[in-house]
Amino acid sequence: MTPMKPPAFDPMQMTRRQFLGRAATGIGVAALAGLLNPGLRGAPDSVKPVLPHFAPKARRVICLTQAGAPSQLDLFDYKPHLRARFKEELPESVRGGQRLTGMTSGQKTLPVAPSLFEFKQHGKSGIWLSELLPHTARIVDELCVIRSLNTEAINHDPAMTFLQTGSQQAGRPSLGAWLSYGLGTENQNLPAFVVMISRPSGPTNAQPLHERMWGAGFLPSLHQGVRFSPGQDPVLFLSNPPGITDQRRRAMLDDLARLNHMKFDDYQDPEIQTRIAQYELAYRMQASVPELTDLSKEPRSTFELYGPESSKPGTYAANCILARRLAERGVRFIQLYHRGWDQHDKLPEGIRSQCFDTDQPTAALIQELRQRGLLDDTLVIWGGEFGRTVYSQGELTEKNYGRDHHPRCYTIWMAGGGIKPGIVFGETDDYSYNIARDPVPIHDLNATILHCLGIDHERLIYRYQGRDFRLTDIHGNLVKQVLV
Amino acid sequence: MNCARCHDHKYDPLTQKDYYGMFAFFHNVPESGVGTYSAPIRRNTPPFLKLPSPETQEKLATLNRELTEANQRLTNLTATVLSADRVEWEDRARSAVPPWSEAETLNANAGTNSLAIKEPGGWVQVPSLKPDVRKVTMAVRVPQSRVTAVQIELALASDNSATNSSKVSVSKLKLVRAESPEAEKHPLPLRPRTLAGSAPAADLAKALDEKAGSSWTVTLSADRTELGAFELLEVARSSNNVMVKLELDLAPDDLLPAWQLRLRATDVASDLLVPPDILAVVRKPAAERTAEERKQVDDFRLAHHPENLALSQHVADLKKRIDETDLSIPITLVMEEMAEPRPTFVLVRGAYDKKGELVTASTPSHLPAFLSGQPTNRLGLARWLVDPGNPLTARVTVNRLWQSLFGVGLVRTTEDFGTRGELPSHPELLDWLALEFVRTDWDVKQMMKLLVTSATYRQDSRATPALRAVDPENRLLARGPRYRLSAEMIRDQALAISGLLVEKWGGPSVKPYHPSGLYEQVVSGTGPSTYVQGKGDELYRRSLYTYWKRSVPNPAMLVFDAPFRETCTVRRARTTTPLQALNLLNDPTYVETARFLAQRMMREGGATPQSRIRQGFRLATGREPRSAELSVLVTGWRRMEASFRGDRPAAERLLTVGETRTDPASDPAELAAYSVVASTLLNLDEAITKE
Repeated sequence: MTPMKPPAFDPMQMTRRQFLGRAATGIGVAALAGLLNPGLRGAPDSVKPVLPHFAPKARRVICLTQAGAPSQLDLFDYKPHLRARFKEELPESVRGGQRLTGMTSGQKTLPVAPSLFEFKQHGKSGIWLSELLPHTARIVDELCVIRSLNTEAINHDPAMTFLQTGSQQAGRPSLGAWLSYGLGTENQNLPAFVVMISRPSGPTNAQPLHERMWGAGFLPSLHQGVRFSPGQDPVLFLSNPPGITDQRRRAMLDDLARLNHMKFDDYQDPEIQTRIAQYELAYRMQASVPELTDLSKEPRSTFELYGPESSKPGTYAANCILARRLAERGVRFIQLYHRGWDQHDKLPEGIRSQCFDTDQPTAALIQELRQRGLLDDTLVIWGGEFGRTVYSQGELTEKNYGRDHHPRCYTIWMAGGGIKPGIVFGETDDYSYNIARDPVPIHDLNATILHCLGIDHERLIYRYQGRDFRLTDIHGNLVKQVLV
Repeated sequence: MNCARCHDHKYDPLTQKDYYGMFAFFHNVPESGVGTYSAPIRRNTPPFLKLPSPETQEKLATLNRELTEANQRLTNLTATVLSADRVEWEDRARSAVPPWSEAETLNANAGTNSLAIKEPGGWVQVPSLKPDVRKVTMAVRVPQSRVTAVQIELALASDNSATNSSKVSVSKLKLVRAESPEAEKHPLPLRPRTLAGSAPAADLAKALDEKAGSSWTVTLSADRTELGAFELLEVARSSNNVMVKLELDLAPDDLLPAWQLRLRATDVASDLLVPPDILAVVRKPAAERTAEERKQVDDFRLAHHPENLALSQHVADLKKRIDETDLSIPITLVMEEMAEPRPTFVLVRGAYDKKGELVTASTPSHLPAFLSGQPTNRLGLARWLVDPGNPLTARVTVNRLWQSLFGVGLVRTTEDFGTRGELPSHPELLDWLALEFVRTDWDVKQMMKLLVTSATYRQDSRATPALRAVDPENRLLARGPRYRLSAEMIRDQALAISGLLVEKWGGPSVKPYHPSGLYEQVVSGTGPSTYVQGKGDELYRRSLYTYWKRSVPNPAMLVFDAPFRETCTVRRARTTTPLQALNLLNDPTYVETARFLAQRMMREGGATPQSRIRQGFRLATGREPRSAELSVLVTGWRRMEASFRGDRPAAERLLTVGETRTDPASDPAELAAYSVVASTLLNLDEAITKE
């Protein structure tokens, strides 16, 4: 392990007034641009940012989080020989005494449930995909499919917390918060970390989410994800109250700025200047955010590309269009959560409806990013918090089965900036139960994501309660084979 | 210390054994949890303290008094009932086959079809029904003016020659008064009764319960009429003859051959509907009855004595109310030591199932020794913590108090006094304050008073550029503190300034204004999935009382750096963001507060814009405005007033924000303009900053 460099100071102790006060040159617009989300850049007592550590391949991330855990067996991890083992008991040699959840530990049998869906090879790369993903099939040559991800947690909340923060227990910053902290923002009028959530259109089990999953943990709270919601106020409290026109707001803010400037003249506290700048940013957001979320000027072809759901605000498809627009505007970390992948029972019906929600818009997003030249420096990640079991939870019939939580192996894919396209990495055993080759623990995934953004995961550090913390904590190895 | 859960601490002199030694103090509670996932119950594991309000105490005392009285009356009544007319009752009971009177059947229907009625006897003829017709109703007039019980009689149809048996299943049975459609909505409460020759009450009950698939089933045969008796728990009275309507829902499982049905009634008292077993006892000579049998008879009479029944019901109601009131009392849980301490082990690498060395309760070895002669339990630990020979607790505490007033602790790392924590800026001061704190008997109020009245705290917060360059963070304390207020203080202050704050103490959490849709996006389908905003005073309580849901914490609080409350946080970040500006400008909390502050300015600030705005400025900042400041605000007000004057609907719309109503006598343009000025005041850097 490379020695951890203790930061010269605790950024939480460093106030903006100090930061600005120490800047040798005057504070111009450029410095204020970073104030919306001033990436404290590792060692901010020098003005020169130390991050990124090396030239990044990706400048931003779009994280398509499939909450509830999609079944790798029915989408990506093709196991043709399982058809012959329909309803056979899962061999103990495969299970290896693994702890089961309370939902299936009481089951008398663990019958093998082969996927009901047909798989085919697609694209030049010949990657296997199930019939549930016809649109993903079109863009499969852009993807790096990792079939050997594995996690430590077996339940949704700790597993999602682990995936996002590198720890099953609450209190650590999420990936987006780390990036906001480390790299700051590129767009002064928008937050660095935006979160959008969609509910399933079908009647499937939607596990709850938790604000901590996009929280800043012990990092300063301005790094936490800002939730964009459908409706009148995409960002909370964005609209002026009734009766306050833009003109009246401007007049009021001008008076406020005058008074705050007078205060600054008297007290010389740079914090006052910061506040003045934040009010101006707020005013600019009142214009920039509605402009961003207004899809009415998108051509009809956009909605055709993203599919029928994309014209309904708040759907995953509409959020995918917004993700592209956010990426175009330089937002650092764009995270979508689509809920409803928790198919303990009626998996065939549930997963069909989930794929209806997500397949076409996901593919459309990749396609558009490619067309607009954004995919080269945008890292896209698709995946959930764990996988699902090869054995059926509940009754197994020819047409129906369910699958329980499975942390030992599952599939995600990555695409874009810094990632090798058109490859499959990692391999599971014949039952998609254990990893046969090239395991990728969550910490390795996170280390690799940071690497794409030009960050050495061992050097993005924050000291808290006397200890240096990293997203990957004391773990993480770069998965070099998936890098360009 | 948490680091040492899995291994010896890397930087501080804390061993893993130290960790589990401390753990052992608390790993000693007999708490087992109460209730399960599927059946939670509201009672808590003892020991706990009940903390009833005086009103609840009073209510409980009254209820208990009433219960004592009622029990006394019940005891007296029991004696009277049983002794008074035993002989007379037994005479009547012995002769008892209840005199069921034939009733006049007025009409009958199956579904929408009317059914034939066969006289004599008023027998309703039920033909083979189509599968979709499952409801049979009949209306009768009884010869009495009061009805205490009815008997339903079922038999094969007299002309049914095709079969000699048939099964009828009644899944639901309802009896209503037939005088008016209104009365039909209220079914008469029925109690099934077991009588000689009729169906057992337990079978009849299946026609009364709401359970699906549960029905009273009888097999009809040619030589037999099946009977079912039901007592009316409310006696049906009429000035004339009573009319009732019977409704039967038939179970859908079998196709019935034709059968017939009638209803008869009686007005005998409930205790004369004597079941066969009681009848058998009563028919024995008194001397031959066993004690058990005598009790059986007494119990029967008591159970069917109307006055006794009413009183028993009253006693049961009182007990239920006492129980409910008791459960409504807030409690505080108390920790109890186990008689025999639970063995505690070092857990290898922190894994719950990997037990290592056995340890006993002990304090970390590098800290002052545990007090001799004190028990090694939580009491001993508490005494050790605050022992004058242990300086750490007092130092940590006064440092936090210092932080709460000065914004930064004397030791900046309030959460870490270990080797990786920062050294104090003023070590002698910290020590002196710690000793002073111990000397004044750990009196927090006294310590706060000492701090706020100190010359250091009362300094001006202004700083020359030179001083700022030397000491940007004010660690040397050459000036007074200046920093933004906390999330809670900002809101509470705005409410207080405007006069909206409700200063009530205590009680459950409240739900102030909150953006809609936030819960729905993330919560699962079960449980309270939406935020239901509170009413009236609940909107204006101190933020201390604001409802907190950890998965969706109050967004306005988060924006101002309130922690998520998932982990213990003794030092908050202090950020400045545009989301804070949007919150203070547009959150209904602050729009309404600004309107209230405007009204207060107009009410208390004299007659001119100058004097009113001066008053508002004083309220928001605690000082008089300078003339330049006042001039900006007054000019702004004039412009805003003129603007609203020309757009009265806009002014009116602004004044509708919030649950409180605006004085209708006020001039909308004027008030709206003052509201905008008040909003400016509440958004001033100075207003949300302590200096």
